[in-house]
Amino acid sequence: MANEQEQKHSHNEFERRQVPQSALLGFKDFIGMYAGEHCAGTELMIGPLFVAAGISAFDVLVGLFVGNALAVLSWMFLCAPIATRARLTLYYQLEKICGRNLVALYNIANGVMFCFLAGAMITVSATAVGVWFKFPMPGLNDIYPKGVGWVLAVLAVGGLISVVAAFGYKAVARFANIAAPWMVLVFLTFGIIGLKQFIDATGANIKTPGDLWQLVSGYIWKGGEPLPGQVKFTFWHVTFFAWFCNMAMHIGMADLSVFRFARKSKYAIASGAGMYVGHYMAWICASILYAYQLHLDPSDTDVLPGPMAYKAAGIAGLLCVIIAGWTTANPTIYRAGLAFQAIIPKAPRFTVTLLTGALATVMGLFPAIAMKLLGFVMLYGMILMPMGAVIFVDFWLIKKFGLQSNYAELSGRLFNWAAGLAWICTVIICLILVKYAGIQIFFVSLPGWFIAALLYIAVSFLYQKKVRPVKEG
Amino acid sequence: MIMILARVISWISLIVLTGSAVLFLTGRMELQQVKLYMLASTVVWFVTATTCDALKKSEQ
Repeated sequence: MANEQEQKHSHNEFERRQVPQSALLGFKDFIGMYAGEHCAGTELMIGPLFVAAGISAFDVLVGLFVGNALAVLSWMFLCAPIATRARLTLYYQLEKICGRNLVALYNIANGVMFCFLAGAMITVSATAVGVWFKFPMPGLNDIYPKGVGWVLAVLAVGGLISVVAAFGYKAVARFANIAAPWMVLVFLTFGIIGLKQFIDATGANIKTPGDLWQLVSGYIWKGGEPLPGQVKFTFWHVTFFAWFCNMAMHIGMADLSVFRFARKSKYAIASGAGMYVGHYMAWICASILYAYQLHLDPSDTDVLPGPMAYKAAGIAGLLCVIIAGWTTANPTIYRAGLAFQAIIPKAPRFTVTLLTGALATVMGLFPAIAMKLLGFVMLYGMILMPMGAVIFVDFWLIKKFGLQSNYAELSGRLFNWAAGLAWICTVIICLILVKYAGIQIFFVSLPGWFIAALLYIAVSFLYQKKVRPVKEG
Repeated sequence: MIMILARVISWISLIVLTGSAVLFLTGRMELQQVKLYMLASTVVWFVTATTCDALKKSEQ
C-alpha cells in the first residue's frame, strides 16, 4: 500500500508470526492510510460510470452514504476483531486453515485480479496522455484497443509504472504519501468547479437547499434510463456497490494484514476516512464532471478521466489523473507481484514485479476493464469473498460444531478440501445465480457469503472425519 | 525553522488550491484564473511537502 505503515511494517515483517505488542500502531496511523489509498485513479471512472448507469440524486447521495457505512461496519465487525486477536497476515492465517497449496491457488486468483485492477488504473493514466497527443481514445462500450496511439500510450505509461514499481516501489510509496492530501483536494475542486459550471449552464439561481436539490436532481443525477450498454443502477445497486467494492479487503479479510497492527479492533473505523473521502466525495465529484460533459453534448458518452479533469482544472487536474493512476497502480502491481512470488518464492522480486507490471499493462490495453469497472469490481470481490467466509467460520464458529480450526496446520495437509470446495463451489454457484437466476453480480455476494460459510462447515464434517489431525488441537 | 516554514507554505498552497475553486463557485474568479492558481499551488505543494518529508527523514 502507498503509505508509511507499509514502509514501516512491510509484509516481510512478522510474516509468519504474530505481531508483537511493541509493533502495534495507534488510530492515526490508519486514518491517513485509508484516506490516501481510496482516492485513486479508479474513482475517476466509477463516479462517471454511476451517471452512465442512470442514477438519481437520492440514489447517489443516500445510497453511497449507507453503502460506505456498511463497508466500514464490515471492517469493524468482521475483519478487525479477527485481525486484532490472531495478529497474523491474511496469507499465514489462510495457510493454517487451508494449507499451502490452496493458498497458492488463492494467490494466483488474487494476483490476476490485482493485475486487472492495475490495468484499469493504467488505462486511466493513459487517458491523460491523450490530452496532449490527441490520439483517438476508447469509447464507453469499447472492448479492444482503439488505434496505435492508444496502444503506445498504454505501453509507455504501463511500462514506466512497472519499471518504477520494480526498481523503486518505496520511493513511489513515499511520493504517494506526499501527494495524498493534494490529490484529495483536487478531487474536491472537480466537484466544486463542476457544480459552478452546471449553475452557469442551466441559469440556476441557488439561494436555498431546495434550489440546490432541484439542480442536482434535475440536471446532474437525473435518474431515468442508463446510457446504451449500461446496467441501470438503483439505490440498491449504489448501496451494494459501495459496500462490496472493497469486499476483498473487509469481508474477504485481506485487511487482516493491515489491522493485525491495530491496538484495538475499533480502530477499523478509520476505514471511514477512505470510504467517505474516496468512495463518497471523490465518486460524487467525478460524477459531476461527467454529468456536465453529457449536459453539454449528450452524444459525448466517452468516460475519459484525462480530458474531463483537464477541462475542469487544467494541468493540475491532468496531473491528478496521472498521479492518482500511478500511485495506486504502483502498490497494486507490487501486491500482485508478491502474490505471484509466494507461489515461486525463489524468483527474484524485481523480475516478478516487472512481469506482473507487463501483464497489467497488456490488460490496460483493453478498455473493457475500465469501462466495465463497476461489474469487474463486483466480480473481484465475489471471487475472493468465500475465503473470508472460511476464515470467519474457522475463527468463530467451527469449534462450536465440534470441529477443529486451523485444520491444515493440525493435519499437516497442504490442501484443505473443505475450504477449497467451499471457495470453488461458492464461486460457481454465484456465477450460476447471476447467469440463470436473475441475481445481478452487484448483489450475489451477499447470499454467496452464507453459501460459502455453510459449505465450509458441511464439508468439514466429512473432511475432518476422513483426515485425522497430526497432533491434538 | 525551515521545516516549519515549508509546512506553513505547503498548507497555504492547499488553501489556495481549494480556495480558488470556491471563488469560482461564488463567481469571484474566472475558470482560467482558477486553473493557473491550481497549477501554481500544485507546484508549491510538491516542492514544500517534499522538502518537509526530506527534512523529516534526515532528522530520523
